Amino acid sequence: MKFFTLKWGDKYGPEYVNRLYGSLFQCYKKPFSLTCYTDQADGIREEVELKPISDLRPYNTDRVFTYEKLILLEKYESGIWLDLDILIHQDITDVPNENSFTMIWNHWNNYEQRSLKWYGKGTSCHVNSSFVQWNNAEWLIKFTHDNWEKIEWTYKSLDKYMFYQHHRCGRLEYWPEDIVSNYNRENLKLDRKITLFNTSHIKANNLTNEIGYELHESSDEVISLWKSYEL
Amino acid sequence: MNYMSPQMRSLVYGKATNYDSVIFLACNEISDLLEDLNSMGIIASAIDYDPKFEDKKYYECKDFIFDEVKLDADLIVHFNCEKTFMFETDGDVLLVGDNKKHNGDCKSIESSEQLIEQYKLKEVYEKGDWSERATFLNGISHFWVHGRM
Repeated sequence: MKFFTLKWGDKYGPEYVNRLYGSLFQCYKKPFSLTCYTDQADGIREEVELKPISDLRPYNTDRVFTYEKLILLEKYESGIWLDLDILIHQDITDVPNENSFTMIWNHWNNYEQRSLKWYGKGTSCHVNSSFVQWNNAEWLIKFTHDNWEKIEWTYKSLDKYMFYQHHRCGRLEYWPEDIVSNYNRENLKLDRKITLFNTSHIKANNLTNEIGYELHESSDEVISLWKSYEL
Repeated sequence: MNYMSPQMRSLVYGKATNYDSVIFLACNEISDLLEDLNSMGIIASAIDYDPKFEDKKYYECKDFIFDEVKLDADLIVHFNCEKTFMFETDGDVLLVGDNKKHNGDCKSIESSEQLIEQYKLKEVYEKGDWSERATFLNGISHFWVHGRM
């Protein structure tokens, strides 16, 4: 299996990449590779293949946050991309599937209240791209390039683009509910096999009442497990 | 529930009743307006991609920017220009947008001239704006233009 991750800027240090590799080593029991597209390779362990993030930026834009992930589909027929701020903590060897494009459905949020209620405002987003598998998703590459001008104008993030265009039209598959959990939305626990710690939506959506912990800010137990992957 | 402000309602009624057919875009719930116009003999319909409009009378539940839609009415009214890319048509339009800078907006509308430029209007019949107070300190302005694309 080919795994991919992206790291740019200074929000996350190399330890995030190194521990992500370590978690795959512990939890994925088949041959695999991890490629990191980055603008700063210092400190990343040698088992990780490094490539320049500029290879994933055909468009000069500061919108459609993390659209770079979609460009991976052009370069590789299949694979799984992983965000740096996830923690894989149980065996995921049998998780991959044959679907064209599999995302995370935010099942920890109430769809009616959180997404459908404000659908027309353009603020809804019930999908998450922190752990995504693709297999020959040419349809998505073509749609994205054919409609790029509209997409760039309309969407501030990849997840919103995927939700409003591709979920709306029934083009996406989702991981079963027993695969992914959300630390900040589900009682600060490590549930299921993979746990998300993303907090970027809090700032992006001005959710001042929502508390969010990054992986390095989580409980001692979680941090201890995370650090164990660095060995 | 109807989501139109009194100013919007006045503007829309004032323009739409001069046409034989009207399509409303990104308009949310305006069933009473559509019912009124149709009862007056005006063919009026709406396109809004919110799933709550599936199977709703007078509504087509589609994204008029990304999906295939027919914008073939005598007047096209866009209620929320700040929330979408520019649609294409060849005829009369009433464009409305605001500078609320809501989280879901694509591009804030700051003037009627901006609408004229964005939509490359060939002729402008009338334009205007109205304001409302959002908080004690901040106001929101709505800008509109009636013209031809």
